[in-house]
Amino acid sequence: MYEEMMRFLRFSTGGKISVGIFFILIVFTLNAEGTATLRNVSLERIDGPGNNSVVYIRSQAEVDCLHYVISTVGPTSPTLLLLKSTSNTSRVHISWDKLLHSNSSVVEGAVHLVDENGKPLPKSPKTSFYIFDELLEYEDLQNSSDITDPKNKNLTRIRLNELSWGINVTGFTAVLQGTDNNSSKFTNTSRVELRFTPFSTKGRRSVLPRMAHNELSADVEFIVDGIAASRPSSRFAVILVVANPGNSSFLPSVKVTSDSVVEQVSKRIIDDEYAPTIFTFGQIFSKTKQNSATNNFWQWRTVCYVMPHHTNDDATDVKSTTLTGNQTYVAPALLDNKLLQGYFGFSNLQLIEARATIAGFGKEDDGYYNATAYISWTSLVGFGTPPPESFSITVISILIAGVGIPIVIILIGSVYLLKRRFCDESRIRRSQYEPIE
Amino acid sequence: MDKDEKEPLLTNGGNATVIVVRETKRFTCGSIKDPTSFSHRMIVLTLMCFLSFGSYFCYDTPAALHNQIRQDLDINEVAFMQLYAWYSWPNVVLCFFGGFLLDRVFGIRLGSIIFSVFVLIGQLIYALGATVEKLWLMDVGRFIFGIGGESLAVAQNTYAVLWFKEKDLNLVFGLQLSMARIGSTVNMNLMVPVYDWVENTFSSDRTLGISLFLAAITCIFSLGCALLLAYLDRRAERMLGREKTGQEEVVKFTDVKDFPLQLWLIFLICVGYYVAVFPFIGLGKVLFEEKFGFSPTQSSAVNSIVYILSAPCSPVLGFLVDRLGYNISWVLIAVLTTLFSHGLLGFTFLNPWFAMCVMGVSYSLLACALWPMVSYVVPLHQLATAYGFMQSIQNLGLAVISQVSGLILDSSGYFMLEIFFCICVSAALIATLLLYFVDVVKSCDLNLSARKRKEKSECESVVEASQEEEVAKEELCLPDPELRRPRTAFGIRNRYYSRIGAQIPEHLLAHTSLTRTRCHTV
Repeated sequence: MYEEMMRFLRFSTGGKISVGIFFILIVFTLNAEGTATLRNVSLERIDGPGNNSVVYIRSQAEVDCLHYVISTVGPTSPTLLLLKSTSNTSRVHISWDKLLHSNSSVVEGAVHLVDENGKPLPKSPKTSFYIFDELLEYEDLQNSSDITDPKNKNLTRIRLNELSWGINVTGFTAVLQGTDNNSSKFTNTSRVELRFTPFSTKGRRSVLPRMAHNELSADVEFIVDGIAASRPSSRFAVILVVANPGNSSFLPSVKVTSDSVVEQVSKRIIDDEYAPTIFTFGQIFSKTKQNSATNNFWQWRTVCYVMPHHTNDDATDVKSTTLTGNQTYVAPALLDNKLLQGYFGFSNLQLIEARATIAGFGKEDDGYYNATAYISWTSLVGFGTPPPESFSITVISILIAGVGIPIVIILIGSVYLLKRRFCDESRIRRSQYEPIE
Repeated sequence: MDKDEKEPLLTNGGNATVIVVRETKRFTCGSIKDPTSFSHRMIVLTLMCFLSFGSYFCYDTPAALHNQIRQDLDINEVAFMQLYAWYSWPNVVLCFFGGFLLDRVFGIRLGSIIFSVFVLIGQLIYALGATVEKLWLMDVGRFIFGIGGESLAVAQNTYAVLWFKEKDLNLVFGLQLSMARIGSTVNMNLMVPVYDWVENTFSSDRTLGISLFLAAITCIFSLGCALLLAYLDRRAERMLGREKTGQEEVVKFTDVKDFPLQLWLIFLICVGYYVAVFPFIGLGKVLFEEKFGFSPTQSSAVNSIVYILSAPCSPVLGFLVDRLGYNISWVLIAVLTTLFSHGLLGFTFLNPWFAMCVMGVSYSLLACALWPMVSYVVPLHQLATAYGFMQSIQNLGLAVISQVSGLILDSSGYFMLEIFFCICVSAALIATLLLYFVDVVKSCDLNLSARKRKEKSECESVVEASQEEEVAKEELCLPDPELRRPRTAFGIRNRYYSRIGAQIPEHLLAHTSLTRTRCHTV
């Protein structure tokens, strides 16, 4: 029996040690990734004639420069253009005359990259754009919060380019506010809002959903506040149009042979430490076909909040449809989009294969949109692959302690028992008396 | 019999308890009226099992009506978990006194009736609170319900030991646990249909209250069992004359400080293990929905699988542990597998059915192996106190951990909660390892096989008999140094008897301690 137990102990000890080594490896891996490139990140509002302005975020490093351009000029729906240039002195130049020109064919070249001398640079092969194009309202008769449910009624489409947009830059956040004085759905305080916050370091925001970010990414918060719902059981959704033209050869009248793809995945993680009870990410990757390297990403935890102060109690779901090329959703977004026309050119833009996803807000029994008449959905957009979600130091140290202490007890106990047994045996050997049994 | 013969020969303090042989009424062997017959004891066992059915049924009404309670009363998770915490708080103190109350004040029979009444009244107030939609009144109800509930479980365990000491005790504990879990499972699956039925039938805004009043019927049923059981026990006591010695032994409050180290380690295992099961089940439903994408119905099902599994597993495993022994090894296996299943739930996306089934089996295994160990390390007259204390500490753990796990879930999510539960089980694992080593060092034989334990127990009882014989002779007769020899012919002869499996002669039993004797007389 004793030997059996010792054999058992040896077995379990061996198993535990390998688990321990596994955890130690994790710690080293975590430490190893602690090196980050130093980036110089700036956020500015570039004002043009009239009330027109665009938000420009520039993130400069030694070997490259990242550009985020956000615009509603046109007016168009809020559009985010991502450009990556290998020239670290590059910056985005905007020719306002061209951009605001009513003739679409003239607009081409209004937005382009220039070097430090103002000399135009070739188009970046790593380019993507994202458009928050429409707000959808539907009557969720099944209380299923499924935008694709055919039993939904009274679908209303609210084009975001019909709102009047104002841009404010406060601190390191650019705020785009859209209002509509002519619509019955908008009161004085109603608004659709977009907040862009670029990051220059690795880290995690203190506000939920607390996604990990790095120096190559920016937060995008989409807010619907106080817009009147048509029905008590109304829910809202937003159409996000995505394209990854890559280095498409925009030759006239030739169908674009893009070497890039956009794909959407749903990723599950075991660790909900930072956003309790949220285990999934929605992710859209812009990839190069050849080596399937990710050029940039758009990701979100599948959660939105129905109060300005984000808490777990005010969390509800974000359910997104798979990417679709359906022209009903995609075509209007690209039409008359001054920013994209200015960068790609009007004719080229028609050839770009854009796709759309619909992100619906809400879940069963959450009281529909009318419960709070507020939605806040946070995404992270950035270059390269999304920053990894790793275990916190608390978790790792607890795990090591939890595994380590039993091992220590097994070891000490085994050693003590062995010693004791050895002493007993030697005492018996020394003893003059034969045991009775 | 003369008066002298009826009196115990030894009156030297609490250690040497003595059976008083009384004239008892004889029945034909096997008659249902004979309290020692199989059929009679089966009836008692059935009543014993249903004694706590009501309290276990109503205990989990909050979990079963989680969404309904949260919506009807408009409360958050923390306020919801308070319903469980309020149940546990009184028991932190009361289980401890519950043992004493059962031992000394009420006696087991009156005690179980009183506690059944508390359960019923608590459930009624709780239902009333739901009817008038006052959370504080519901908390009061749960508090009173808690006063009765756990003490009733102590009474149930004490009844079990009284009627089934040593022989098949594991099996009986297993069956009791099964019935308790059947109560929980039936509740989990019945309350929502009852709620819906009430909603459709009465279409009032008092649906929750009415449903909970209906649940109180089970408490009335259990009270009936308590009354019947009290009658049968009193009858058996009168006929078998078994009570007057051990149970009324003077128990000191300070007994607690005499609890052996092993018992404290058993307490620690109990706390560490149970807090990783009950609060987890209380909060588990959302985990299965959010992390594993289960529908609410599926989540309820997988959440109650632990209870469902323990119903058939407990008696089977109880029987096995009874026959095989090796209690600490079983506890170790149960703790390790539970750690494993919490690990699976926390660190993987593996279908939770597997992890929860593993947890269900190991939960039953632990209960069957852990609880009977208490009776091996404390004498019978401290048993009710020890069990009471064990439940008291368990309740302290549950009350604190319920709230802590609610807070952890709110602030850090399910992953942290799982890690926290892993730590709790890990603490139980540490205690189990320590218990094993302490047991080996002190040679307490908790981990013996059942056969060896029986041999040893018989052997010891005989040795003790012989030693007491000596003591008696020393005191009553001459202090002859010759009689102090470790092995008297008397002792060796008796050892021989026990070795070949012969019955130890009746007259020797009067000289052994009550604890050791019970196993031969029952």
